[in-house]
Order: sequence, then C-alpha cells, then structure tokens
Amino acid sequence: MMTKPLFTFAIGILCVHTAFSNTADSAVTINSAVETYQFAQNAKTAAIEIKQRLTTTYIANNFMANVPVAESYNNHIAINKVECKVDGRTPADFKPVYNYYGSNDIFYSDQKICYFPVTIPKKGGLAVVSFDETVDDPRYFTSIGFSEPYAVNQKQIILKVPRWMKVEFKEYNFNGFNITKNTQYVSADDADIITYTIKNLPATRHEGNSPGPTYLYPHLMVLCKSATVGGTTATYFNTLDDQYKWYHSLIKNTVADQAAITTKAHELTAGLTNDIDKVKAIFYYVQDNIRYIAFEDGMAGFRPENADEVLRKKYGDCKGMANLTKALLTAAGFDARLCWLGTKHIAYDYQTPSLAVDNHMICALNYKAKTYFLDATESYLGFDEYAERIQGRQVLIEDGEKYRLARVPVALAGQNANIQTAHLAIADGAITGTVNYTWKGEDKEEILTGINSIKRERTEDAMIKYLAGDNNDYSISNLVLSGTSNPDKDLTVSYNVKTKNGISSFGKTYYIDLDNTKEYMDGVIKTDERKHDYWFDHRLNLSRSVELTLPQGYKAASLPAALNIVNAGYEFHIQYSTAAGKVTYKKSILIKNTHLPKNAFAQWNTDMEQLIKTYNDALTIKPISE
Amino acid sequence: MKKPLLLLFFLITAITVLRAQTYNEKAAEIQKLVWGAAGPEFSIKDVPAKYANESAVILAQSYTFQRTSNLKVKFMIITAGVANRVTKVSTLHERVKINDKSALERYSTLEYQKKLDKSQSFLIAKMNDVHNTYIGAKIIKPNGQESTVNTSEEVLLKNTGKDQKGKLAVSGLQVGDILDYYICNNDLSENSMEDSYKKNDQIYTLADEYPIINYSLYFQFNDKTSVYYIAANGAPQLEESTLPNNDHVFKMSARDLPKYQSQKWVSVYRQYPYIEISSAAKSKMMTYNNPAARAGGLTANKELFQKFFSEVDNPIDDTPKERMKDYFDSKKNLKAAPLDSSMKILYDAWKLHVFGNYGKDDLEDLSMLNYRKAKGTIATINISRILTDMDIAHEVLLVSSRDNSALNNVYNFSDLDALIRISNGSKPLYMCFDDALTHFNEIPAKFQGEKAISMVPKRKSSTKYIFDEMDTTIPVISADKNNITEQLNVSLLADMQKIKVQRLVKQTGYMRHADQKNLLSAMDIDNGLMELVNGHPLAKRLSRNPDTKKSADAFLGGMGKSPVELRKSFMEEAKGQFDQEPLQISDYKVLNPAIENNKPVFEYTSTVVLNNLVKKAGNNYIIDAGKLTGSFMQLDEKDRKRTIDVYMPAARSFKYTLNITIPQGYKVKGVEELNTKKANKTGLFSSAATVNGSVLNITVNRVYNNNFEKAADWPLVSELIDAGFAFNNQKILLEK
Repeated sequence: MMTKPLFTFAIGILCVHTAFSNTADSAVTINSAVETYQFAQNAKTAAIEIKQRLTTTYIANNFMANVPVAESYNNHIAINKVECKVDGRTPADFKPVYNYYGSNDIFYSDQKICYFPVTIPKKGGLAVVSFDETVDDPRYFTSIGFSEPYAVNQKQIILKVPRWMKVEFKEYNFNGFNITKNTQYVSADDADIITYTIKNLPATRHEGNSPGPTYLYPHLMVLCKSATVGGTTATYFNTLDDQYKWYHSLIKNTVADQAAITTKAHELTAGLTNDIDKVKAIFYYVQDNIRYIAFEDGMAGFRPENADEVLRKKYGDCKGMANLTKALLTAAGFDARLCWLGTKHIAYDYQTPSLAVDNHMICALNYKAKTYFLDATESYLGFDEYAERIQGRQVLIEDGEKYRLARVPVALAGQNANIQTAHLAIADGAITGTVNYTWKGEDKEEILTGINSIKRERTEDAMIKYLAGDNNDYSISNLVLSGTSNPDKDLTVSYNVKTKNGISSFGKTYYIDLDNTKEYMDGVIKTDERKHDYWFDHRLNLSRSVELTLPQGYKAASLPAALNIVNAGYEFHIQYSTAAGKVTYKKSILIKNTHLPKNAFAQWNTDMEQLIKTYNDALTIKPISE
Repeated sequence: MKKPLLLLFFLITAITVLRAQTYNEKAAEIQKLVWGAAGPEFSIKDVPAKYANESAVILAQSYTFQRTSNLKVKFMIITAGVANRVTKVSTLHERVKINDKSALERYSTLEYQKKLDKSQSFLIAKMNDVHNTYIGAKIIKPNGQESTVNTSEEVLLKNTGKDQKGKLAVSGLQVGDILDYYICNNDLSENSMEDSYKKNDQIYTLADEYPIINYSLYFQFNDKTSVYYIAANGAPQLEESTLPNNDHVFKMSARDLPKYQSQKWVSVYRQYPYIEISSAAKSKMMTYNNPAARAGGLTANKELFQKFFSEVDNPIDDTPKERMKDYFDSKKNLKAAPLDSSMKILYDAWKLHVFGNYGKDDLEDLSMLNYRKAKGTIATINISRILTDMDIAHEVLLVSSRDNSALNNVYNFSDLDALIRISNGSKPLYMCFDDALTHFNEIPAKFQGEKAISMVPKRKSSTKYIFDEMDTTIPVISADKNNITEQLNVSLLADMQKIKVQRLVKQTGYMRHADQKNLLSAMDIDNGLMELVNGHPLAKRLSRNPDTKKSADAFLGGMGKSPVELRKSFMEEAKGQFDQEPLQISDYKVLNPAIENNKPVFEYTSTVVLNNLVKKAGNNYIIDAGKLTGSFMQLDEKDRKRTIDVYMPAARSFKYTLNITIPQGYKVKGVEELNTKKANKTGLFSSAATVNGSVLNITVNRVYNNNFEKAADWPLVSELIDAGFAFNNQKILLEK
C-alpha cells in the first residue's frame, strides 16, 4: 500500500500502542512543547526548504519515568540536530540510535527512526528534548499534528511564512479542543507569523476499529502551492493538475518488456471469447499469483514497479499489482488505467491536492461506458466487488495528460452475505442435523484469508473450530467445503452436526437454543472507556434460518419473544414460529452503515441488551400430553 | 615495532587486501560449492503420495559445519600474546516442495545478518571477529524448468559499515514450486571469550515443522578442536571418522523424519530425539580463565560443580548466616533452636539476601520483580559450605529440571540445578533455591520425582571438598499438598440474567505460585521476606546498595500496586478462571500472602458479576452450573491417541464448593445429574449435589495423583478429563 505521505503523521499514532503508555497513570506529561516551522530558501540549491525545531518538555509523574523518544525521518526529512537534557544536564548515556523503521506489515521502507530512551529519575523532574529538522521539498511537508502520545499541558505551533510562499494551512478536528490562533505580520522579514496555542490536550489513544488519526486529532493539513523568490516561481501542488502532472510523470514507461506482458495476457485469455471472462482471467491471475508486499523506498513509494518485473518476481506492492493488472488488460485490448486513492483511513480527498490525500493505487477498467475498479491486493474479492476500505472513495484516474475524478461504487447490500440454514432434530438427548453456510463478498474474503494462512492439512480442523465457535460440545462430520478456489462462486460449507450445547432436558421437558453463533454477545461498548467512534470492518448481511423437527408427541410450550430493532445504521430481527411439528428460528442482522458514532453508543448498547436478552431466551418443548 | 617489522606488517596487509575476495566473488564460490557438491537427494522432484496433503515437504535438508581452531601470535607494542583464531563455516541447505499459500508465505522471504564486523583494535594489533552470510536460492517449476533467484534483489534493513542485515523476497516463487536454497554463515573470530561449549552449543531436533524425506548432519573439526556431543532420546549416534589431514568428522543421515506435532503435557527435551554438539579450542590456555569452557556432559559439569566449592576461588558469602545469628540474638538461642527452626531462618535469610536485593536495571520493569529466579547451583554451593561449617549433616542433590534434558543428557553447566537435603531423622528438610515465594522445605514441582546425584560434602581444605556420591530420587509431593480449594457463594441478581459469585480461594504448594506472583505486589513480597528474618527495612537496604542508592525513591514508589493495578490483577485472575471478563469485580483482596511457610496457604477473595450463564425459558431459568468452577480441559480427537508419556506439571487436586442460592418461588431441577464419580489409579473426578433449604450445595473434586503417567495410562487420564468436561456442561433448572 502506498502509505508514505501519511507516514509522518501515522508514526506518532503507531507509537501510541507500541511503545508509549497514555493511561491515566502515564509516566510523564508534556508540560510544554514548542514547534516552529519556517519556510526558507536554501542558499546553495535555491530550493525551498522547511526548517523545523521541535522542543518538548516532559515532566515525570513517577520516579524513574521512562520516555521512549522516537522521531521519524526519511530521504526528504533530515534530522540535523538532537538535544536532550534531563533536569538541566545532558544524560551521560545519551546516544540517539538511527535505524530503519520496521514493521510486520511493511517488507521494506526507507522511513527511518531516530530513537533514544529518556529516564527522568525524580518525580516532577523535567526532560527537554529537541530536534532540528529540514524538509527539502515542500511537497513532502503535508501535515502538522497537535496531539501527542502523552497529555499536553501547553503547546505552541509557530509557523513563519514569508509572503513569497503560497501555502494554506487547513484546520482539522479543532472542535472541542482549547486551541487559539494568532497571526502577526513581521515587516522586516515580510513574513506572517501564525501561532497556534493549545492547552490541556489529551493524549492520543489507540482503540481497535477506530477511524484513522486524521479524523480524530486536531492537526493542520499543509497545502504548499508555490514559491516566488527572486522572480522565479516554483509550483508545487497549487492545484490538483499540478499533483496529477507529477504523478503522471512517475507512471510513464512502467513496462520494460512488453513482449512478456503480451505473451502472458494472451496465455491467460486464450480460448476465452467473452470480454468479461478475459478481464476476470487477468484480474484473478494477479490476485492469486502475485504476493502483496509493501515496499516503500524513496521514489518507489510513488512510482510503480515495471509490470514485467512484477510478473517475473511474482510479488509487488499495490502500485506494482495495479500496474501489472493494467498492463495485462491493455495488452489484451482493454482500456485500463491506473488510479490513485486514499482509503477510508484518510479523512481527505482530492479537493486538497497533497501527498497526504492518497495511500493506495488500483486499476480502473473502462468497458462499455462503465468503469470497473480492480484492486488485486484484495486476494479473495471477486470482479466488481469492492472492499469496505475503498467503497465510496474518490479516485484520481489517469487520462493521458489530464485526469478524471470518480468514486469507487458503494457496494450493493447483497455483495456481502453470511447465511446459515439448518435442519435439526432431537435424538438421544442431542441436537442433530445438517447445516449449510454460504459466504459472499468480504465475509467470504475473511474466511478464505484465514484458510490460506494455515497449513492445508489443518484446513478441515481449523474450519471445524471456526464453525463450532464458542460451543465446546459441537461435533461436526461430513464437512464439505466448496468455492475456495473459484472467485466467481460463493464459498459454501455443509456438514452434519451433533451437539449437546444447545439442549437441556429436565424431566420430559427440553430447553433448546437454536442459535449456535450468537453474534455480538460481547457487543456492549464500554462507554466509560471508549473514546472514539466505532467503525465496523465491513457491512454485514447475516441471516440464520433453523428448522427444528420436534420429537414425536412433542409441542412447543414456550416460544421466546421476537426481536425487531430497526434504525438507520443497523437492524436486528429474531423470530420463532411453530407449525406442524416444527419450530423455525429466523434471525437477520444487518449493519447498513459501518460508522457508529459515539453519540449512538447509548442506543447501540440498549439494543445490544435486547439482543443478548433474546439470545438468552430458550425455546421450551414438552410432551403434548403435558 | 621496529621499522622493518612495520614494513613487513604493511606488506602482508597489502597482499592480503590484494588477494581478498569480494563479497560477490565469495558468494559465487560458495554457490558453486553448495549446489555442486549436493548429494543426489537434492535432485529429487517427486513427493511421496503419503505427503500429498502436506502444506510443504522438505525433500532434503542438510546441515554442514566446518571449524578450524589455530593459535596465532598477536603483537602488541611491547608484548605479544596468543590468540585463538577460529573459523567456522556452517551451511543449511534445504530443498522444499511448496504446496500451499501458507508455506509460500513461510518460504518467500529470507532474512539474514549479511555482515557483522565486531573486530577490535588494540594499538597495532587487531582481534578479528567477522561474520558474513551468503545465500542462494533456485526455483524448480513443476515442468522442471529451473531458475536461479537473483540475490542482489535483496534490501538492507540495516546498513552501517560493519553491520548489514539483509532481506530477500524470493522472486518467481509460486505454490507448486520446489525451492532449493541455502544459508551459509562464515565466521572468523579471535575472541576467545566466545569460544566455549556453551557459546558454540548447537541442538538439532530430529523433527521439523514439515516432514523431511532426507536429512543429514555433517561436522568437521581440525585436530586442535575439542568436541563433545550427545544423542538423546533415541537419536542415532553420529558416525565418527578421521580424514587424512587429521580432521575429525561426525555425521549422520536419516530418512522420513516425521513433522513435530504438539501435544498436551510434554517435556520436549525428554521426549523428542535430538543431537546436541559443541566444540572449543583444545588448548589448555583457553580454559585458564574459564574452567567451564570445555565442560560437556554430566561428569564434566558435576566435577566443575564440585570445583566451585573452592573457598579461594569462590569465597563463602556469609550474609545469610550472619542474619540467622542476628535473628536468634545469641549463640545459645541458636543452639537451642530445633534444627527445622534454625534451618528455616537460614533459608529465609538467604531469600531476603537474594530477593531483597535489587539492581538499577530492575527499574526498567518493576512488574517483573516477582518473577526473578535464583541461580540454584550457585546458592546450593554457598549454603552447603555454610552448613558444612556449622556441622549440619546434609547432602547436595544434583538434578536436572523436568523442563530440561534428563540428568544423563545434561550438556552444559546451566542445564544442571541443585538443592540441599538436610538430615533430620525420617523427615529430611529441603532447601531449594528457586524463587522468592518458595518455602523452606518446599520442593519445586520441576524437581519432583527426578533422579539426582546425592553428594555429601566434606571439607578437606579451603580449596578442596570431597564428596560421597550415590544415586537418589527426589520425592513427589502428593496431590493433596498441591491444592486449590475454592468456595463460591452464587446468587442471581434481580434481573435474573446476571450471576454474582463471592469467591474464597485457598491455594497450597505448586498451585499457589502463579496467583501469588500475579496478585501480590513486589512490595508485599519484600515486606514478607523482611519480616521472616527481622531484616532491614527496604529503604535501608536500598540506600546501602551503591547500585540502588540514588534510585531508592523509585523503588519505594514503584514496587507497590496502585489501586488500578490491583484491580487489574484480580480482574485478570477472574477472567482466566471464568473465561469471560466479569461485568463487575469488588471486595478483592489477599487474605494471606503465604510468604511464611508457617502460614503456607495463599488465600484471597473477590466478588464478581458474570453474564451469559443464565438462560430464560418461559417462566423458568436455566443456569450453567457446571461452568461456575471455571472451564476444564477438553480433549480433541487428535489428543486421544498418544504414544508418548505424560509430563504433567505436578500431582495436584482441586476442590470447589458451590453454594447456589435458589431464588424465592423457584425449585431446582437437574440436581441428580450433578452427582458423578470417576476414579482410577491416575486420579479422580467427582461431583455431589444436595439441596439444603434454599441453597443448592455442589461439591466438586478433581485430583491428578501423579506428575507423570505412562502413555499406556493416557486413556485413564482422558477418562478424568472427559468427566470434568461433561460436568462443565451440566445445567440446572430453576422452575417457577
């Protein structure tokens, strides 16, 4: 994934849950911080640079408070000087370590870390850490974050902008925070000094299923447009045209060995007469045969690898996979284009031209007046199916010297499905019968991702464990799994089940639980702990239909009450019915809007309690004679 | 160095530089050697039908190791020394058939320390310590087409002049391919501190993640190298031979090695075949400062252990003895004290001395203080010499932990452990030097039932102790002494959906250690240790220790548990017990920390509110009564077949007493089904239930009689596990 532009901002967040503690009993608080950013012309190169000085004063809340300080840099951001003083003195063992940044998700990145631990021995002691940095190209100066992994008592962001520099600072997420702004013109420098003062800023906090940091924390998006010095104007991203022009220059000549691409395209489409079948053959080939690895190295963070190289290597990042998809489709006679987009993780779109806007590349196919988007990094989504992370997102599509803006379609409700049908009976004090599942879209993708991450000799065991869920006495036999290797088919499973988990008998009365999956049993959100909105992984379209054949001479003595909860974001429906010696249980859960804002938590929790209460209501069957 | 010598030095250096191969030249040479000299097993392309469903199959795996030791004169300014120059070349060569995406992911990336130069210069002399790794890979497609992977496509994750870490994404690799790759490590070291059996130790377990069709080991050492190896748990002995140049060769080959399959309750180094081999320079000079350098095997390490009794080389640390004397206030009192009393104080004084002492590094993570371990062999030697001095008859027991190799397969000194058995009529007293919470006369579970060498030390002189030796077995502590007794008072809350459980937990022996470490703070433990022997307060101890003097406040401020941390610890404990995070937890506290072995029962209490254990059924309620004891183990089908013996952590017992209040207006059904009993020679599971007025009393007993069972008795153990699991699923009905 092309995550580079956001990296500087994202790294701070990463540290929150890896290295820093930001709980109430955090080891330190940031007593004060001052960050100055100044645009200046490099006397030697004449390039416009941004000089940054970041000074942070930590105050210890405990004895021997440890602060793991980390500052990221890369080929365009240099750290010129680092200073650290603890209670007025430079620690004897102060030795910053400069290293490559590594993570499990990224194969290689040129992002580097300057790291050093700071220990403040006394409670109330102070550590002052400062970095002098230079950004060598205004295009890479994309944002200024205000929040820190620790609570901040006071922080100042000072921006010194000469009038020859055209730059816009766009404010995000200021509401609810104590932030003031002051602008002053300094005639001697012909520059504006913009000062933001922030007081009592809470620490950043990592929570699962949260919106990305650009939605959560106050920050400035920096839009460097142009600089005119000495009569010469350098244009950066004044408009989206400028950004596209730069992007377009990077995607020229990204096929070196056209013959290899053409041969492969012909091989993949040989014998196919239907155009869509040809497209699918190419798309599924890339999905299945090219391993995704994230590779972010200098310009390679923006320029796709040559398509023939990706084909040869059998691995690539999103740009490489998109480029290969495009090259193969083009070689097969289709109109395919590369496109850039920011996933849902990012709060921006192309209204604000900046490298911070996008983090992903896919391929667009124009076919019969319709544009299809092909994202081969989604290994198990079918053609014309879209992952939640890109649905509805604005895309910048290449179009020669121009570009086109469009949006990835929001998938229809039926794209994803998780369907169970079961025919059950009672025998020897256990529930027995047959169960069938069908999974589509992102539900199917989740399961196939799981299956393919484990050794194949363990696939059946793993599938059985998955299907048994939290039921500890759920015996599965005759498991048949199909659709694992055909992207156009639904993933299905059928099996026989024998379980005592869902049945209790006291005397001649049976108490039966017909729901073996019980989604959201732990779905109550801890509102006293949760700080951010909750974003579901994807939209959910789940249904359960269970038919229980009653034993001869039995009747349904008590059916649990129905549940019907409908609101704009989700629906829960549970219904029991009985007829002719059978009881039918039907459940459907729809997550229609994947964004659950904090102000909806209370209603969600009320609804959860209703759902759980319904789950905990058992069906009672008795002999007809009683 | 005189001028002519200096010129010669530069000349030699220049020639060396001129002749030195580049990294790429060396890599090409190694590639030729590895693939050129590969045996016929590295040409296999077909996978036997029996492995068709495996994720990957290793068609051939070989490990070759060649080592040369030479002494080399090193010139300093006015002196010269002899350096031990060791070169090591080791190559792992593997040919693997990739059958699925999981294996593709596993083999698609190679990561390696490409270069590491830790050489040090001392004036004109240089002590070389250089490492280089060379890799190679080729892919054989299903149609037989072979292609060599371009290793220059690597990226460097670290790239300083002397330290390079490489990572290669194997290009062109797909499911269905065969990957033939090698990793060749070249080391040149003149650092004699790195040349010992311990540092060079290599273990080869004859089982892997995937089945191996052809497996081979080959080790070659020059005649200036000392070698020791063991073949444990049924591994074949290595075939030994001598080459014309006097190099010694040790090798083996095997076919059809099964893949490793995880099972419950195993001791890997007791039950899976492995070869352990190491080497060090033969020169006596190399062991002068490091007597352990060439101590390989039980006999050598036992002798080393005995050698460490020398009071000249290792002076006796009398601090525990002095603390004991202070405790008894006078020689008369000490003499008058019963043996078990004085020995207890000596032991507790040792505990305070070791675990009541802290280092600056401990501040990095104070939460780990409770998990510190003592070095049992060193403590045993010290206390044994004190006891010898006091004329207390005792034996030193040399043992290997149940988690480690068997005593006869001990390789390094660190594999050994030791304890003390003090003669005391028919009831010997044990001193085991393990953790801060081990009591006097408590034998850690890891030693129970183990064969040991009993050594009765006799002091001949300050440098010499002699030992009367015999074989012995350390007793197994019975299940009733490793016990958890839990009383649970259970009631339904008004909503008839949630359950409130008041718990009183009592733990003894082995069963108490984990919760003690989790629930007690480091400060609780330190206080307890101090009180045992009337020791100095923590602040005084910290201020007297130069390492902690300046950071005493940090220790004093950080060793306790804050209310938030205490709640978190109890919450974690309850979560582990009930397999769910309680909705609420309250009234939690430790009632007896059990640091004192006169009050050996660890007791704590807490009250939790649990969800999802009650179901409504019309006007009635069904309660998952069987789950109130916490989850018991469930056996999968694959767990039921067992061919290897069972190493359980300890003989142990559990007793749960549940008092479930029956709400007014309801009667309870399903009580009869709660009565069950399964007993055999391996243990017992029983449950009994009665209704007394408005309370349902359920008593559950679970006992594992032994810490070890033969594989043949696994079905009996399984019976008990199944009975416990069946109880877990029992329910009761509250009928209106």
